Amino acid sequence: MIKALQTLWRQISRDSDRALLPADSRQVRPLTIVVSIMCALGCLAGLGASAGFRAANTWTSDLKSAMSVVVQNPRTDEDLGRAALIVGRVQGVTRSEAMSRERAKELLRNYGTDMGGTLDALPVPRLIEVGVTAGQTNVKTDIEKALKAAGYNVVVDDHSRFTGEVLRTSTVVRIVAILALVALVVAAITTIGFAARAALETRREAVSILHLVGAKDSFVAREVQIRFLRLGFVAGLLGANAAGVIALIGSTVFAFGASDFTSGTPLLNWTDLWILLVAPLVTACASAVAADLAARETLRDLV
Amino acid sequence: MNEKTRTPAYREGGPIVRFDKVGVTYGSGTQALRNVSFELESGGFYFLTGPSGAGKSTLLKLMYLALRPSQGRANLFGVDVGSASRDALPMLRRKIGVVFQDFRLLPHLSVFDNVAMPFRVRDVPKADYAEDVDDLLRWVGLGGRIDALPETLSGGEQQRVAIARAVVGKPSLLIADEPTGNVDPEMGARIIRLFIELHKLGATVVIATHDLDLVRRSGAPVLRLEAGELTQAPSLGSAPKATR
Repeated sequence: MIKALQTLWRQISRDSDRALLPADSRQVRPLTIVVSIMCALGCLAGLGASAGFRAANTWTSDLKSAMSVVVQNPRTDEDLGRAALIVGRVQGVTRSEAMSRERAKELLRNYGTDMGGTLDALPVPRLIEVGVTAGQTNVKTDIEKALKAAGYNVVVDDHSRFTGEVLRTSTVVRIVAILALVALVVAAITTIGFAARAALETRREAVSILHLVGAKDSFVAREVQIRFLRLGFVAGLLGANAAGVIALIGSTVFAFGASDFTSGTPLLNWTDLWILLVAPLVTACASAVAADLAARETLRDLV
Repeated sequence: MNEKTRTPAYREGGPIVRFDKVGVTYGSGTQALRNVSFELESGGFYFLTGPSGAGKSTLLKLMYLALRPSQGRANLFGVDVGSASRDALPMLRRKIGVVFQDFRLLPHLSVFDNVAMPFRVRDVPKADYAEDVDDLLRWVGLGGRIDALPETLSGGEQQRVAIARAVVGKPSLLIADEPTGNVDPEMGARIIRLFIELHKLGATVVIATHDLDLVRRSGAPVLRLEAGELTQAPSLGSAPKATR
């Protein structure tokens, strides 16, 4: 095992001009560009999935830790305040605050409709903003029971409708990103395989000489594999760097254009760095495996 | 030469090459060889002659395992090459050294690396063969050109590189296709002397040549091909045997 690793290292680290099957520079440059673009797109898909997952988590967590209680026809602001006090005593409630009439109007205005003076004439819903401990069950029912017992007629909104939509949307985003990643990996492997076959066809005479001096198929395949391992690593580095720059620009633009809803969830996170760090290694390994398989298949056709 | 690269030549008794009614038909339908039967003794020295197009190259290809027979049985080192698995061929090929008529050097590799190729495909560390390769290149008169690329060499020099590559691994069977065709008489004589030295070490040598004078002078047994058929084959015991 150690000997095999030493041999592999010797082959990887040796001067490329001593390679028994040298790369064709006319093929290497365009192939490196194609693979690096695929790698960059793959990284962006990965970063997109990660950002989507994080955003969905933050949003659902925010939604799950808050409820709104609509109190039907409270007689006075004090009456609403009493209801808020009752809610505050329910187990699992961390915060309970009666919303002023003015703030409720502001919320309606935030929907963007210029209603002018009409808004003052409308019956504004009287709300209690409630903070709950995440993961606490039955809070909604307990609030309803407590307020009903005190003679209030209420509707408790636990945002479950929005949570479900956010989760569904984030799942779709993640599935699309993963499918895109898989498609890119398949495309990259197919491209590398095709290039490896072409490389062997181009060097058919050299391959024939290597065979005649006693080279095994595995040796010839290894020569091709090592070349594509290097190419994959270089393309992976280029692609990951490009994806990093694009993501950084995207994240900056996103941050500048953030709304109240999105400002708490940065697009990029330091933990995403692993995607960019792993990408060159994954690209190198995928290239090497694809090249090895293609080379062995091509060599089987020779004597 | 150090111990690691000094591979013992094939010394087992019996024929090293045995062809029994071997035929080769190419994809185009051309029958290059018909019903060829002969045996080459281990440690023998043979010439292969015949007019152009007689099938010499095809016969040599069968012997250096670039081709498998279409008909009959070809046996090398006790292995039926017609039915041998693909994985078995490299080990057989490592016992064979070939000097191609068109040299078949790798143009991107230096003289040294071309000659060292049989070691490199076996993953022998450079330290174990570098001295042998240097010695051999000096012997064939290319000691000062080890870093040169083949395209910068003359035809004769390229041929010497090809010969060095064929013999550097101390093959049990040495096959040469017109090895003296592109060199001056003095170098031709040196090359033949090298083959004789290898033969003395126990290698079986087969030289394809049009030089009938060389064949007559050597007194070695001859395989003669005409129109794909063997018209003259050596009888067992006729070949000069290695003295060591």
